[in-house]
Amino acid sequence: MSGLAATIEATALETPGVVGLYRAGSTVVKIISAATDRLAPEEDTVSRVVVTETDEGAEVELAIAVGSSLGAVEIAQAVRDRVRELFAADGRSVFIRLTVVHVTGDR
Amino acid sequence: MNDGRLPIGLDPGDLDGHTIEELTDYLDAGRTPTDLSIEESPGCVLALDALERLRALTPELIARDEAAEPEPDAGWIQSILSGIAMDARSGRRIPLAAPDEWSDLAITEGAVRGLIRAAENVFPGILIGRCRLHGDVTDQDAVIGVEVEVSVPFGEPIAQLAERLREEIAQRLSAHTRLAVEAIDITVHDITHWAEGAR
Repeated sequence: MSGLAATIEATALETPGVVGLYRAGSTVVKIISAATDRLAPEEDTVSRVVVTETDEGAEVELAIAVGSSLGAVEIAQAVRDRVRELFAADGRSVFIRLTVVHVTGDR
Repeated sequence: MNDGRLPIGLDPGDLDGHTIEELTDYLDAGRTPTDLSIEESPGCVLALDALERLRALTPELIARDEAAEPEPDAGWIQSILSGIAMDARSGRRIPLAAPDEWSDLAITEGAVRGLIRAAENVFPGILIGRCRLHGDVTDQDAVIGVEVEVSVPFGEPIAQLAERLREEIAQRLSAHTRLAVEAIDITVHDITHWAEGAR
């Protein structure tokens, strides 16, 4: 996993309300990624975040799970802002596609 | 079931290459050792949630059988099983904010259905079966409707229970989405005599 992807993952997971991170991307990408994960050494795990370099900067795709105590909208916006700040610190722009895929239950 | 789909209507892609049988075995093993290919798959996690709900239901069904009560409506059971399939599907992407030049924030339809289903946890004895979102949920300006089918416990005033469930679902949707919900239609599909301690 690249250092940038790892930093984005950590940033997302440190955001209050985020309780998990899932593999982003299409189903095909996720299946291939999962298979690669099983073959890869443990210390070189595949990132759950998709980072694509573009002419304008980068595109980041994330899929997160959120807790039910905070609103998913506010949590998603907070993750977006934190990731944006990461790139802004390097003077880079970023497009963030973030999807909440699970709101954890209260069982 | 010869159309390539799994028995309860799941496509392999819904579970990122896993099968419902694998998930059942994984639950049986107490979700250990942790399988990241399952735990990091939204479809798998939503299906695991649904399977756990079904497991909570199973003792009641056994108790009902032992008490020689009439068999539950097969259609109702099927709706619960279908619910697992529905929950596992991510479905449509529902905007959480107006997309702008730099971001696109959304929640999956599967996550919203799971959110609605979890409302049953607030009301002992209530089970939510089929759950549908009507309308173009991908349009943040659209007005949408919610339809759920429920089983309610015997002895509770149904109208009051339905109203409280409606309020709970509305509160959850308001807290976690920007959906403009016009109506939450609740159909009571079954009235259940719960066995002592079953729920």
